[in-house]
Amino acid sequence: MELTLGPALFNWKKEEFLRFYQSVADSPVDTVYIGEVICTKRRGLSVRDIEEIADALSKKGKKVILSTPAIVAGREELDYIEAILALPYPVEANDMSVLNLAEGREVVAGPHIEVYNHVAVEFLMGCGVKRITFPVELPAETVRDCIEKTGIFGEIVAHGKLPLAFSWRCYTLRAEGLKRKDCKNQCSQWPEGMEIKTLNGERVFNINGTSILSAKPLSLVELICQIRAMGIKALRIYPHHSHTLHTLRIYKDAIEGNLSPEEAMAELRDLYGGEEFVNGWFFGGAGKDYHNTKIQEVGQW
Amino acid sequence: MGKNVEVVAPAGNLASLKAAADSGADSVYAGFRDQTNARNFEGLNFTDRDIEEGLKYLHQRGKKLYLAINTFPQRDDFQRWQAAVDRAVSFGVDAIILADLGVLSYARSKYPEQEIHLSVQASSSNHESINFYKKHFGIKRVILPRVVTLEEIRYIHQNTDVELEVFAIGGLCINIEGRCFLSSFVTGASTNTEGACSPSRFVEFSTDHGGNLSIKLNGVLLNRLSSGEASPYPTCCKGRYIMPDGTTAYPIEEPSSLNVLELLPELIEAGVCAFKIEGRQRTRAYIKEVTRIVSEAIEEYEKNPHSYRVKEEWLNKAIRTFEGTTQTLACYMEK
Repeated sequence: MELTLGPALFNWKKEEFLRFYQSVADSPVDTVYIGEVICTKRRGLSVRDIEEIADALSKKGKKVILSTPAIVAGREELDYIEAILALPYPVEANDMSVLNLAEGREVVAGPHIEVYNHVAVEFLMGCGVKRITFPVELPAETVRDCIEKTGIFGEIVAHGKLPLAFSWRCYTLRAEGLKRKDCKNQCSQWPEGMEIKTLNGERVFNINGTSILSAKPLSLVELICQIRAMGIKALRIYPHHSHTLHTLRIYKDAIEGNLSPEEAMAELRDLYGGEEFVNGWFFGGAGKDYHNTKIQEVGQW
Repeated sequence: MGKNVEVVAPAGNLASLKAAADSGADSVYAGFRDQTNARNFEGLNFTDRDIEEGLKYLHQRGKKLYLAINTFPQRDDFQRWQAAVDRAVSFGVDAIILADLGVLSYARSKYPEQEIHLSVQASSSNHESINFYKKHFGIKRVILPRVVTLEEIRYIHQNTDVELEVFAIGGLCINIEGRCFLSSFVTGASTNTEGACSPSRFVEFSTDHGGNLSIKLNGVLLNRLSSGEASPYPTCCKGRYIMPDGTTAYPIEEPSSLNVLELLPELIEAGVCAFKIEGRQRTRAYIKEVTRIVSEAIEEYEKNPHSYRVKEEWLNKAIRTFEGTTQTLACYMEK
């Protein structure tokens, strides 16, 4: 099973990105997605920086796939996609526009393309798509069904704050009473997003520029055996400002059997200082919930 | 009648369909009474017999019926969506409104002549995406997600011959439709698959001794209102939250309703050919009122584009339907 590093959903400063991907080059990850998914006004990484990082990662034996925006409304985003398509790497489509622009190129379907059934998978395969990262809200049963019926190379998101929604509005700016035209990359001041709480103090959402993420991260490390049995070929870890490299190591050890799923989860809990994880969508429940996998195994997972 | 620009009115039942048709709608959109459409609310939507009767009512008056089959089926459920497409086509509806790539593939290969509109749930918000759907599925029209500006609509229109329909009045999605999992994250009931955002079975209202109202969605507190404060139907995006500095705010969206009457001429000139009224779940009286306002506005514009002004009367009537919320142009003018 491949271990992949998803595109960074946060807007870091250029030097931070460079340092981060330098360390990724020596990490146990197999595939690295890099490129802007949230907002093309972000200035952390230029397309040129992306190319240089991709080249460096490639030299270290990593497979590189370039990610593209989850919301494409105007010229700015379309120009970004064209610039990304000009680079000599496979591209992850997160909007159908990419499939229209990328004819003849190696394209994979990212988690923001709405793929819910095997007929949709077959359609995409007919367009030359050989690899799909399924939407984060899909229950395991649906992913299994899609893979079983089509044989597609399937990837799922296994770890990180989950991308939940995308808007034309920048929520980070809105919090300061500003509009998108006032953008001075204020979101880079929130390297892991801005957590908001319900009025009774519950952590549910995280504001991140034009996107909303989950406040608590997902972890499916305890479910690696079931995931393997479903025919899933790749697990995606989203980059975060802290603990990402260590997290990759834990997942790699779990995939290779050096850590049992329970040991891997215990290590993650240690690493994240008692953070609560979520996994409810995997079981067909609410994404915000955590299901104890030991109990689930007895029932239906 | 005889308008060039179309008013597409919602209907959750036959009475609303007739009211819409009698109030100036050129077409009505509706759904079957199940999860195959994105307004799957209890007690709402059409049986097969309703569809037949509604279709007859509309066709006798030279109007159209569009049927939304715009949710995303999973696993063996796919067959039910196929059956919904089959039924819609057999009734002779004027267009089916689809979102899922699988359902689109099925409908296009089985019914090459059927008019297909691309649902807002397909998140298609630029000409490259729209042209992709046209190339593969021959879509005639796209309902644009509420994330594009007037300028972007103009640019899309310059680069595609697919008809553009936009939302005119009513509830407002602030996140791109089809890619918003907020409700699914909190409740487990996916808007994309089940067809309802913030389903009522998860909503819980409770009042304390001081008369303050708490609104929860599957146990998650979305708002606390003092007596007298109005609230629209509770969704995660219109909830009140605590910000990092400890203040409380509506960080995602104020409780507000969309109203584009002011921009109607600009939108038409940018290439919009149809205005959709949101609210299949709303009452017959609402549908009648709002359909009348938008129809009159378009007629007024078509009579004399240069002298078009939003009438006080339209505005007052529209505001009364907004459930105590303010009105907004969303991002049509700027982001």
